[in-house]
Amino acid sequence: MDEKSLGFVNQLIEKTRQKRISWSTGVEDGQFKTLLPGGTLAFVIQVKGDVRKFQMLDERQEVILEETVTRGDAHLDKVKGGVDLDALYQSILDLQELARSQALQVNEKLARAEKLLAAI
Amino acid sequence: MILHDLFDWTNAGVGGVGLLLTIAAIIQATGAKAAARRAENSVFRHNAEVDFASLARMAKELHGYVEGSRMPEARLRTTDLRSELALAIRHHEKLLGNRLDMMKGKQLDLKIVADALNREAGSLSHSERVRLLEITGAILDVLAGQCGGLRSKAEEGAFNG
Repeated sequence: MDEKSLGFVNQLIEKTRQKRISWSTGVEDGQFKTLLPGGTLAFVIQVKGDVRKFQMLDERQEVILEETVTRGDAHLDKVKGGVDLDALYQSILDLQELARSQALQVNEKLARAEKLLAAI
Repeated sequence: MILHDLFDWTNAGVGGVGLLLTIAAIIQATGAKAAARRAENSVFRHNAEVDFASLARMAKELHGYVEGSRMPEARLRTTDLRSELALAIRHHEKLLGNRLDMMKGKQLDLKIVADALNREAGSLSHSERVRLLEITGAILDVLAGQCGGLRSKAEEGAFNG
C-alpha cells in the first residue's frame, strides 16, 4: 500500500503544480483537502509536528487508503511495502506545502504585502 | 354525375373534419402530457425543498452546537447530517445539476468535521475551533441556499402557472 500511496502523492504533487487540482483547508491544524471533479474521490493530507498523514476517500467518504508516517519511521530507514518511508515522509511534506500555498493563496498574499509595504 | 361529385365532396369534407378533430385531440393530449410532466416536476421540487429545508435546520443546529462548544451534541448532529445529506443527494441528484459537486464537497467537509469532533474532548486548538466554525457555517450557507433556490423556483413556477 505504501508504494501506491507514494505514487498517488507524487501524482497529486504534479497535478497541483499544474493547477489542475484545488485544495482547501481542513479542520485540523496542517490539514488540507481536495475533491476530484465529479466527487468520486477525495484526498486529505496533514502535517502536524513530526506526523504526516495521507488519506484517500471514496464518494461515500470511506477511507480507501491511509498512511501515517512519523519522523522516527523515516529516520530509521524503514522499508514498508517496498517503499522507503523516508521518501513518503518527504513527499507528503512537499504536497502539503503546495496544498497550503494554494489553499491560503500564499503567493498572492505575499505579492500584495510587498506592494503594500513598498507603497508606505 | 352531379350526385356523384356531391358525394365525393361530402366524403372529402367529412375526411377533412376528421383529420382536424384528430389533430385537435393530439394537441390536447400533448398539452395534457406536458401539464402532467410539469405537475410531476413540481412534486419532485417540493419534496427536494422539504428535504433541504430539514438539512438546513440540522446544519444550523450543528453550527450552534459548535459555537456553544457543545461537542457531544455537535457529534450526533454531524452523524445525522451526513446520512441525511447522502440520502438527499441520491434522491435529488438530477435536480441538483451543477450544484452536485458542491454538495459532494460538503459531504467531504462533514467527514472532516466528524473526524475532528471524534478526537479527544478538549483537544481542539483555538485555530481548529475557528476553522470548525467556518466550515459548519459554510455547510449551513450551501444547504440553506439550495433550499432557497428550490423555493424561489417553485414560486416562479406557481406564478407562471
